[in-house]
Amino acid sequence: MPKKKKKVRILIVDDEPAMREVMRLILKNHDIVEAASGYEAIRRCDEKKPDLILMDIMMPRMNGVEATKAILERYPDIKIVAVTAYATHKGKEMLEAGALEVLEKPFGRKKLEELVTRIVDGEPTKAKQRA
Amino acid sequence: MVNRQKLNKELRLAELLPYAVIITDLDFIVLYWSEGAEKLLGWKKKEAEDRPLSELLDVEEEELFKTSDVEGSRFFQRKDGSKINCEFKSVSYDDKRVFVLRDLTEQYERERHLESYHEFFERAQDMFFRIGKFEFNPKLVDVLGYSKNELAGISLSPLVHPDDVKKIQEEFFRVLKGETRSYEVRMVSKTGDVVWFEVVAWPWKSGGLTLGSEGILRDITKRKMDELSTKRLIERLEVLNSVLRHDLSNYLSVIGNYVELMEEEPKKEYVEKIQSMVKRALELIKDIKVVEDAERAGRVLKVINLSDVLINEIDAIDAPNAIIKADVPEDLHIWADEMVNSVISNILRNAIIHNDKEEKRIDLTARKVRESDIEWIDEEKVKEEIEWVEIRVADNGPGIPDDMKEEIFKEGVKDQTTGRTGLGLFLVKTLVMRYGGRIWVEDNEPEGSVFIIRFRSVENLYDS
Repeated sequence: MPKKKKKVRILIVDDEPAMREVMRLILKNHDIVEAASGYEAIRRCDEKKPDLILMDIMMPRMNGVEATKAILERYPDIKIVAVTAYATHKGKEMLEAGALEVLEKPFGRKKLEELVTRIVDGEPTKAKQRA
Repeated sequence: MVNRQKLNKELRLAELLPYAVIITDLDFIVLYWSEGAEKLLGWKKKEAEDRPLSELLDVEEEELFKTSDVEGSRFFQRKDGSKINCEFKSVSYDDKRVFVLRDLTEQYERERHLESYHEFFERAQDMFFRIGKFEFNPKLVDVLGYSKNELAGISLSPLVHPDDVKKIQEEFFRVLKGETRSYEVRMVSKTGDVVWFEVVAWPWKSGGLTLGSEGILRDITKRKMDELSTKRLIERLEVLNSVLRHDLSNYLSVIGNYVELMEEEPKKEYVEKIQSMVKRALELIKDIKVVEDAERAGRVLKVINLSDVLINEIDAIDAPNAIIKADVPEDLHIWADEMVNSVISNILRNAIIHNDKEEKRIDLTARKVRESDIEWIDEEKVKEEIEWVEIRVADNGPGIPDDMKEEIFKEGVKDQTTGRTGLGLFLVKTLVMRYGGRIWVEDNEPEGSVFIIRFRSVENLYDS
């Protein structure tokens, strides 16, 4: 019997509207909330805590690293994945800030789906492996 | 008959003088020839007395043989045939004439050397200065654009870039303590250009006292400008690389994922999304090219008729539900280049694209303003009183939050309406700054934003 996919609340944080839209379509079986900035992401978490955040890094005013730190300080059990074109140096900053994984842009649909499934199912992440 | 003994006795004091003292009768026959005259002219007393003076000194009679008293300086011949430069004075005294000659050779040599150094000073391509009282050579006048008279009365402070005043004071005090110092400093020419100098300064001493500082200035403006250009270019390349990677990564992610979604469920909407992303990617590449061109444009600015540019760009707007009111005087001329068209076009497009109203209103006004401006731009220009041409583009859109008013001009800032990275306003600011201008945004009343751009006004050189 195929394993039933768990439905979770996912917050997509990215200042690119088209990016948020396509990720929403790919992850349509989950409960999706969007935010266009770090500040908005914090507000969404306060309104209703998500299970997983897909966090872009390069955003104006409050970037992904700052938002990650702020959110994990309030809600340490939220799982955060960095989504970025700068996996090497910015990705490292996100992992140090508490993100579990880094998903490098451009990414395909399958890669995103697999990553979300892995995180939601509680499988080992890069951050845990490193620890 | 002259009583030589009596004469010699009376003139004992003359022997103590370091000059040549010669006394003749009214016919210029030598009656007395001092020791000083022997040393200066070579003739012994016995050889000289009772002989015509003109014979001994090889002078033209008219020069010395005047009935009135004479003085001057000239070359006289010595006994050995050599010439000696002397200052001379002759006076009448009873029935005699008295001549006093002073050797000017040392003084003459000194003056020749001084003149030679002075010529070197005047011709030198490096600049020399002395501070205690501010003194300098002509090259500094050329480089700074002031006249010699204008520079002569001035103290150093007004010529120095405000950011370097403290540095130059500190260096000056170190020199006064006895140090030789080498450093770089910026000064400001009469036309407001910043001139970079390499300075080597040492104490100016006289009579054992330190009176100030003196030294050499070398104009290194070109080198510094090249360094700054290279630094700016590297920064721009880093920014462009960052923007390119960031935005293109997004576009490719979106395109790739919509293609995969299409495989599962072909939808027209997905095709439109793909097309939109491709279009944005191409626009981004176009914008980057414009920024690149702006960087390559160099610093050759010219007189541009801004009135014509404004009218043309307004006419080129294709927005049926936008009402554009323009108040543009004729013949507004500014320092800029052809890319000023991009500046105006970007500002107008922004006012329309970001306007969420059904009826989009844009009011464009242009005018000359005269205002003090003590800001420095990229270390290239400064003026205390400037005539600007100011453009105000006001819209009735949603406005811009205070914390974004500066952010929007930075590269890489995402526009939430269009999703485009803010290369447009970054480009605008880059160009405006290149022209020596200013740009900022304020709130419009009762709603919307006002973009204000100031360009450097220039009188049209071709108007009669």
